[in-house]
Amino acid sequence: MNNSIWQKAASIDNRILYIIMAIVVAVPLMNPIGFPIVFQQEVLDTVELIRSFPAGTIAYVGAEVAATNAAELRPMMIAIVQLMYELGHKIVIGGFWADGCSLARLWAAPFLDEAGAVYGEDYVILGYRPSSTSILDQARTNFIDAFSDRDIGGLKLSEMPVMKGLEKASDLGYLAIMNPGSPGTATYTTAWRATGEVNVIIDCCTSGMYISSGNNYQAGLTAGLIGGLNGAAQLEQLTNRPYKAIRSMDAQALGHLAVIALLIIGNIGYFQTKREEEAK
Amino acid sequence: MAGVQVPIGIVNALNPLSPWIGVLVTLGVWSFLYKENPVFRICEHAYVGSAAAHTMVTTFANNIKPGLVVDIAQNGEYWRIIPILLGCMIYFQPFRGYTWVSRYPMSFWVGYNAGYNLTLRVAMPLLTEVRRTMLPIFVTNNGRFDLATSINNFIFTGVVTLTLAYFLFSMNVFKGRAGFMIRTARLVLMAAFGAGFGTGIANYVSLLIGRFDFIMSDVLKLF
Repeated sequence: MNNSIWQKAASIDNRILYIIMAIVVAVPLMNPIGFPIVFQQEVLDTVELIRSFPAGTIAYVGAEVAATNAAELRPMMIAIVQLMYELGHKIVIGGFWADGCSLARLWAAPFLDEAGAVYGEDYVILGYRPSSTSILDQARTNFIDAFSDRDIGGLKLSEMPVMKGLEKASDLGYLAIMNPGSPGTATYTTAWRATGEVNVIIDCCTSGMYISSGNNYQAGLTAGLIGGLNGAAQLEQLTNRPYKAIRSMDAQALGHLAVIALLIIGNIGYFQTKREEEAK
Repeated sequence: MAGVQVPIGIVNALNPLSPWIGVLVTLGVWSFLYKENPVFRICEHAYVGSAAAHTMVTTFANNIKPGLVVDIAQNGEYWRIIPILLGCMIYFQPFRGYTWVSRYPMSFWVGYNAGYNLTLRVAMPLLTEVRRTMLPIFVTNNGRFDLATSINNFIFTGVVTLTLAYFLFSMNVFKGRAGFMIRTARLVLMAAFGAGFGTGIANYVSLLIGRFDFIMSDVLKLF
């Protein structure tokens, strides 16, 4: 049976599609093209919001991350903690995803250490805790007790200078939550924003969460929004610390263009095949 | 220091190997794209096992051990035995004749969560979103009519109204000429689903970028 070119286009083997996507993503990662980064007002406002907090403010970073979100949330987390440290904010990193805090130690801590931050004085990583609801609820009245007075390595939180002045959740100046799903920003909004403990929540979401995060931002539930790899790249650019996000933007752009092109080819192929069959 | 002590010699010996294990497992999982095979199966089972073990170890190290050893044994906070007992009661569920024991902690937990969610999750976020939906259609800015914001608000409130109307299943009031509302709502919903699908694609492309970045940059140091 002779298949026309359109019939072939409408039924390209999946394995060929995977190879196309792999090439389209891998090549620009090694040889970036340098597409311009367009700034969004929400990211500009969010960076200004973080900068508006005075030195000494205690900021909480929700390390709600997993290895699957590394491309988007790793550069976002690194850029945001670097900005916090530069502004003299005290950084408390916690998380309710099983590998979130371990990944924060791998991703963010080396950059903070390199910048001169001292663990226990300038930042601390709390370690994984199950049951976000009860722990965040308890942290409203006793933050240290809610986290069992232990950091990720078993050190006593109550003996760390960074925890000075942090008795309850309302002592936190603002939150920056990495948001790939649940637990995520909604968990903190319910626990600490709805109760009036913390009014400033910055939603650092993946592209998959961008729609619901955008709704929350528009509704005023969150005060800041940085979305996906694009948001991370803008953050890197705004803080003058280009890292993985800026480099990955070309790969993302070409990857999206490839998907659009394949969608168009597939659809043309489908309708053309239908027309050819009707003509017969 | 650490909750679970691992001999430092083992950690140091495994450190140079761990990125390569990551690369091999990534390639093993990707082999599924060609076809189902034993390598993929091994990687899949290894992931499930290690993820479960990691969660168990970190939960024990960060919660159970400090709770038992420090809070109860060292600090004498014996009241903490009550929630531990409640937690242990859940494990009576598989024992026929004693299942009733597990219902007490469950009823406590369900009651707590229901109250928590009804008061906090529903009240504040939902009411805030409803309030922010009630936007003026005729907007004035410094005494002058703001056309752009007015159009924006009109579309926003219109789309919300149409979508809500679409889900009035029990009242078939949009018949005849009013049926255009339902058809428009369906189009609006399809556009929303398309946007959701688009962000999903973006997420998968990012996932691919993350893996390539790990292999080519973090491990192979190609850039």
